[in-house]
Amino acid sequence: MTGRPRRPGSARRLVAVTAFVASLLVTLTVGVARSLPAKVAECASDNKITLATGSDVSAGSFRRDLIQQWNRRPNVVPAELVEIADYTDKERAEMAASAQSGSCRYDIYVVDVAWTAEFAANGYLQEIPAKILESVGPFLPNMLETGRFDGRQYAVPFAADAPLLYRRRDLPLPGTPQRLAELGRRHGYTGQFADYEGGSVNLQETILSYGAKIVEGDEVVLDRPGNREKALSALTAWNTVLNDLGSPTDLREESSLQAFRKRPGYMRNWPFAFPRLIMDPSMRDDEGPIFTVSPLPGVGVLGGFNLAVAARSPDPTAAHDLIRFLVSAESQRDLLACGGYLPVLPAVYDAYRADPRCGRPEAATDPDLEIPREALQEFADAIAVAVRNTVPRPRAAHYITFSEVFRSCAHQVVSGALPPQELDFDRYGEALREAMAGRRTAKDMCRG
Amino acid sequence: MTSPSPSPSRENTEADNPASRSSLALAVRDAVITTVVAGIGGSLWPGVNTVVASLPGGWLVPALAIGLALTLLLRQPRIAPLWQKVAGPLTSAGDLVRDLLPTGGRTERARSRLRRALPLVAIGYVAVVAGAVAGLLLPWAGGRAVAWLGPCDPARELQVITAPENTHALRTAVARFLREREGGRCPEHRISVGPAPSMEEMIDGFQRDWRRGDVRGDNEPFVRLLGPRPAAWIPSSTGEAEYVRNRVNTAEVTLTRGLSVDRDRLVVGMLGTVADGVAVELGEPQPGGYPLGDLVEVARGTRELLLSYPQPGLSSAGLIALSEFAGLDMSADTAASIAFDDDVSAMLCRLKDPATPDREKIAMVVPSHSLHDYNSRSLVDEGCPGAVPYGGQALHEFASPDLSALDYPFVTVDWRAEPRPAADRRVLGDLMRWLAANGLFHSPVPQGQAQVSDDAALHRARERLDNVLPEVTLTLMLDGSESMSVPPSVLALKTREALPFMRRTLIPDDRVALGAFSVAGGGLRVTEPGGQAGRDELHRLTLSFDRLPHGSDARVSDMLGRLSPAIDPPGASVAVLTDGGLFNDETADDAIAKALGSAGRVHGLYILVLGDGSCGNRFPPGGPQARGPKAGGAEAGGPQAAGAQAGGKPIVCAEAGQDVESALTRMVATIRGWTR
Repeated sequence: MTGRPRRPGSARRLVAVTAFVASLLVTLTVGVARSLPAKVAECASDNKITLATGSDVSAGSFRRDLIQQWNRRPNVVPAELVEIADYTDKERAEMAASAQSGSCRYDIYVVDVAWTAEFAANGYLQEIPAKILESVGPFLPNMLETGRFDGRQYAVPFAADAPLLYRRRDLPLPGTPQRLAELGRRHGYTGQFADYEGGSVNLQETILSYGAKIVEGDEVVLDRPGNREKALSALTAWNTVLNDLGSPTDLREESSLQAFRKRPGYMRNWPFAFPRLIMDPSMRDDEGPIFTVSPLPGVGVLGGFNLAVAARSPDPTAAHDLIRFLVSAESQRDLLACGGYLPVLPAVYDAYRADPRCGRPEAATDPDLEIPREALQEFADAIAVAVRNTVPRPRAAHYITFSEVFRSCAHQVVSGALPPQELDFDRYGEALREAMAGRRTAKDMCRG
Repeated sequence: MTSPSPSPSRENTEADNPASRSSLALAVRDAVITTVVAGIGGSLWPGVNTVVASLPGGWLVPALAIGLALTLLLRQPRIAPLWQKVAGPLTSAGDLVRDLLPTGGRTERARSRLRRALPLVAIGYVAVVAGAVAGLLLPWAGGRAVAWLGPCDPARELQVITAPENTHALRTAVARFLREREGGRCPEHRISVGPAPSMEEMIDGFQRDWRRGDVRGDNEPFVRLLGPRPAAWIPSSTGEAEYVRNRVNTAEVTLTRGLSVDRDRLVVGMLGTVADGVAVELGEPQPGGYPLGDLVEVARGTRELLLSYPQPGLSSAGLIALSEFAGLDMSADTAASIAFDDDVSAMLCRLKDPATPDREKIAMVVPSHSLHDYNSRSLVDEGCPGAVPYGGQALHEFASPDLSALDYPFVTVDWRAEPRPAADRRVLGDLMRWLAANGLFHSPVPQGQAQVSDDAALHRARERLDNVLPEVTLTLMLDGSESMSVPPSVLALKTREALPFMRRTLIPDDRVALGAFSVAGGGLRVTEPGGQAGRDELHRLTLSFDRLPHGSDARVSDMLGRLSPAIDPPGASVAVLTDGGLFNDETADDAIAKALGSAGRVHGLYILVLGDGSCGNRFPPGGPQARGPKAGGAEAGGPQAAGAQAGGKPIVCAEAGQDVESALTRMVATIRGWTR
C-alpha cells in the first residue's frame, strides 16, 4: 500500500510561513507591551491639599493669606502652598513634569490660562463637576472659557488679568491702536517684547489690534490674504516706534515698569503695576498721581490663573471644597486688595466700582498709605472694561510650541532683526500650523 | 557474502546531494558563528547596546539578523575563500567530533533525521529573523508616519541646570541638539535650561526634595522650591560635582557623574585701558600663560589692581578662584578679592556699567568663555543687554597654567520618588554625548595642562574663607512703618523670606541681631535686638519678625541716638532696612550723618532701600571711600551706593530694587569691607 509521497517543498513553505508569522506576532506583542506606560500605584491620601503655584511673595502674598484663612476654618483638610518659581514658564515646566511622571505631589495646579488647554488635552487634570461652578458662579464668561477643553470644564477661574494703558496724566488718550503708536513714538512707550510668553502676548495684541486674525478656532489664518497685510502693518508700525525711541525689545513686566518710572510716557502693563506706581512717591506731585490708567486701545489678551485638580489627586472632594473657598466672593474681594489681580466674578467688580478701596484693613489706618479715591475709581472703571474686552490666546494642546514659533518671527520684525518685507507669510503660516500640532520645522520659518 | 551495506540514509543522501549537504552544513556553521560573534561584539559596544536594549527582545532579534546578514555576505565569491581559511579549522574540528561519535543503526537514523531536518531549520531560522525584523519595522514606520503627519504626543519635560554664566551657552546648545534630533518631527522631549543655585543650596535642596531652606512657624503652610526639579546638572568642575555629591544623602536622590562636555580655564581679565600696561610689565608669556605669582605681583603690587572674583559662598567659579589664590594670598588680600557679586554674570554686568566706580582697577578672575561672551555679544540673558564693548572697553585676557581648568561634567539627577523612564534616560545620555562631541562654548581655550580643582581643594578653600575673612557684627534695624507691610510691596515679608539666605555670605564668627523702629503713640519706639544669632541661628531672627511692632515712619537719626547705648559689643555696624519713606522726616540732609558721628558704639551705617524707593541726594559724595568695590549698576533693580563718611565712619545708602536676597548679601560683603 503506497501513500501519496510528501512533497518537501510544501513542508518548507509551511515552516517558513509559520515561523514568520509567529515571530512577527511575538515581536509586535512584546513591542506593544513595552510601549504601554507602566502601571503606577494609586496616590494615597496624606490628609493635606497641596497646591502648586508661582512665587506668591512677589505677587503680594495674597494666595498665602487665603490659604491661612482656609486652614483656620474648622473641619477642613489643611492646605499647603508650594511656590515653584517666579516665572510662569518655569511653573509650567515643573507642573507638567510632575504630571508626566505620575507624581502624587500636587492636588491642585494654579495654572496659567495659557497652559490650561494643554494640561487638559494631555490628561493632567480631572474634570470639574458642574455643581462646583454652579455653587460659586457666575464667572466672567471669557475666563470660564479658558478652563474648557473639548466641551468639558477642567478648571475653575481664580484670578483674571487684562492689559491696561498707563500714561502720563498730561498726555492725550489714544482712541485707536494706530494713534497709540503715533503718540508712543512721540512721547515714549514701553511694553513687554522679550523672548517669553509675555512677549507673545504683546505681539498678539499688536497684530489683533490692527484687525488681523491669527487663528479661527484651531485653524491658523494669519497667512490668509487680508490678515497678512494687517499683521505686517502692525509689526512695521511698532518696529518704527521702538526703533525711533531706541527702546529695548527685551523688557518684561518689572523692567518695563521701572522704565516707565524713570521716563513716564505710555506703558502697556498688567494691573499689578497700578498699586506699585500709585504708592510710589516719585509718581506723585502736589496735584496727586502724575499718571493715569485706562483700557488698552485695541484688543487685549486675557491673562490670569485657573484652579485645576490634578488627575492623580486622591481626594478631589477636598480639593473642590478648597476651590470653592478660593473663588468665593469674599476671597475674590481680597484678591483685589492692592495685589493687582482681578476677580473672576462680575459681581465683585460691580461692588468694587461702587466702593473702591484696598481690601486690607491695615492700609486704611495710615493716611499716607491711602490711595486717592479718584485714582481708585479710575482704576476700577478701567479694569471692569478691560477684562471684558480681552480675547483668549489660542487654546491648543501645543500652545507653548505655537507661542514660541509665533513670537520668533514677529519679534524679529519688531526688533528690526528681520526687515518687514522679508517676512515670508507662507512659511510663517505653515510653521504655525505645524506648531499647533506640536512640531517645529527645522528650516527657517520666517524667511523665504 | 558481501560486506554490510553502509547506512542507507547517509549513503543515499551523499549519493543524491553531496554538494547541497556540504553547502547547507557550511551555511549552518557560518550562521552559528556570525550570530554568536554579532551578539558578543555588539554587546560590548556601549552605544549599540543602549539602542538595542530598548528593542523588544533585546539582543535576540539583532543578533539573529546580523548573523544572517553576515552569513549571506560571507557566501559572496570574493569573500568566501578567505572565510573558508578562517572557518576551515572549525569545520575540521566538527568532522573530528562527528567521527568520534558512535555509529550504528540508531545513531545513523538520528543523523539521517538531522540531515533531513537541516533545511527546515535553516528556513525556519531565516523566517524567524524576517518576521522579527518586520515586527520591528512596522511600528517604527507607523510611528514615523504619525510623527510626520499627525498631531504630536506631549513632549516630556526635563530641566537641566548649570552655573548662571553658562546658561546662555547651554540653552543655545540644547536648542541645536533638539533641532538636529527631531528635525521637524514630533519632539519627544522638551529640555529647559536654568541657573543652578549655590553649592550649599543644592546640597540642602537635594536632601529636601528641592525645597528651599525657609524657616516657617507652626501655622505657615508654605514651601518654596529652588525652581523646577532638575533632571541633570552641569557643574563647572569635577571637584564641584564631588563636593556636592559627597555631602548629599543618597536616600533621596542619586547623582551620577558622566562625561565632561567641555573644557575651559579660569583667566584674569581686565579692561584694555589697563591691560596694555600690565602686558608690557609682564613681558612675553610662556606657553600656557604667565606664572600666577608674577601675574598677582604685577596686578596687585605694581598696578594696584583689585583681583576680584564672585562670592565663593554663592558662586562655584568664585570658590575655585579662591582655592587658586590660597597659597599666594595674605588674609587681607583674600578678603579684598571677594567681590559682593553673586556670580560671574553679575560681575560682568557691573563692569559693563560705565557708572561703576574704579572699574579700571578691577581684574576679574572668571572663566575664559565668560570673557569671550563679554566681548562678543549683548549680555541679554545675563541681565545687562547693550552694545558690545570694543577697544579699550573690551576685556583682555591673561592666562596662567596655574589657574584651574574647568571640565564641566554632566551629572544626571535621579529622584527616588519619581523614577525616570527609559526614554528620559536615553535622551539625557544622548544630550551628554552630543555636548561632549560638539562642546558647550565656542571660544578658544587657553593652552596648557591646568589641573581641575578637586573636592578636597574646594573644601580647604571653604574653610580658608571662614578663617581669613574679618568677622561682621551687624544689627539690622527694620523700618517698622506700615508702608513696609502693606501690599503690593510687602517689603517686610520679602525681607523675612530673604533673611535665611544671608547665611551664604556669613562665616561662623559673624553675628547678626534684629530690631525695629517706628513712631507709635506720638513718640519714637525702638525695639532693641533680642540677642545675636550666628549663621546657623538665623531662624531665630526669622521667627521673631512677626513679633516686631509696627507704627509710622520714624527718623533714622533719632533711632541711632536711642539705639547706640544698647549696641553690644561696641563697634557693631547698623543696617537700616527701609522703603525710603522715612527720609522725608529728617530735619536736614546731613542729619543722619551727624547722628552717626554721635553714636559712640556704632561703627558704620548701611541703609538699604527696598522696593521702588530711592536714596535720593541725602548722602553727599566725597570723603574717604570704603575699601573694596562699591555696589554699582544703573540697571533697574540693581543697588546704587552713595558712599560718604560721617565723623570718620562709613555710611552707605544702597537701592535694592525687588531682589532683596542679592541686596542683603551685597550689604554683608560691603560691611565686611569696613573691618578690613
